Amino acid sequence: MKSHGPEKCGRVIVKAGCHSLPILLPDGTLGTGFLSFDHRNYIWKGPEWKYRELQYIVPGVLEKPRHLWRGIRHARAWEEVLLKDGWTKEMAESAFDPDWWAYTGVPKFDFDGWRGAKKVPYPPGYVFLVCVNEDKMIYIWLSVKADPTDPTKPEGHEKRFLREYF
Amino acid sequence: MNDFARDLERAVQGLDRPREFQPCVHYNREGDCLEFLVSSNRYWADRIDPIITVYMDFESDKIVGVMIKGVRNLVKVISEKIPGFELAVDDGKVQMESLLLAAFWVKRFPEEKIPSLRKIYRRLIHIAEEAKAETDFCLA
Repeated sequence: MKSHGPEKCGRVIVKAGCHSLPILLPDGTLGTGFLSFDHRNYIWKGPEWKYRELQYIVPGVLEKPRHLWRGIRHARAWEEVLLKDGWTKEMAESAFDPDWWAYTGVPKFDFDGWRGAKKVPYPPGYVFLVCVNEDKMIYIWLSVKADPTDPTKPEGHEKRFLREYF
Repeated sequence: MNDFARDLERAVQGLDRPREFQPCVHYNREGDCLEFLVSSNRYWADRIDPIITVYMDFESDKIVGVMIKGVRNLVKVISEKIPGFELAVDDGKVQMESLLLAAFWVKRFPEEKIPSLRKIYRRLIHIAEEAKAETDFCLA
């Protein structure tokens, strides 16, 4: 039976219905991240600045992140954890998808414009965040407020991610 | 241009692209999240609770969109807690404002956060009503 999962073609891993791009793995080697064609089509039809971020900022942050974060807090966390008094290690860890990762960086530039997007300086006080799931599928990239004490980290990173990988 | 950018550029050649911005809703299967956008302006993201991340216009600081996370679980919880919600589902589709309202009803929030969350959810519901946005919805 033909596999529908990722396949290795030389040094590049290809996955049906996806674009591939290099991504830094936790062990320090380069692996492959993916973006679905469906997601690409949605972004292409939306504001061009977002599409240009995907083309020119997302690859840099995935390949050379300033920080890598393991475990993204999932949407069920509120009831399961936050209403309880006193977090135990187990409770805290149950609130995260441990194999989902967030890559962050502070790019030098960004884009702006609905069509014919132009390069603009990256706004100070923000951090660029790219999230991937356990299959290394990119699902969001966003600018978020930076931590006031460390402008290279996202605000609230202590609760947002399971732990700082580096 | 990096290889990925070139690959994307080739792939989108010939694909239709709207000239004018229209409010849009998109479900992202990989992240199990729903994005709703009402402006083409550049925005930053403010995570207000584990479900909702609001998109804030960089220039005006007004809400221009929202991302709802954990959609599969949310639908399951809505199905369990509000069985009558099926009345809001028409031909497999639901208005965004109904979904946001249901999300606020079924989720429990820390007491001290309720006033600020109520204000944000109200604003989101109003924006969704104005945009007449709807999304596919399949009750669990």
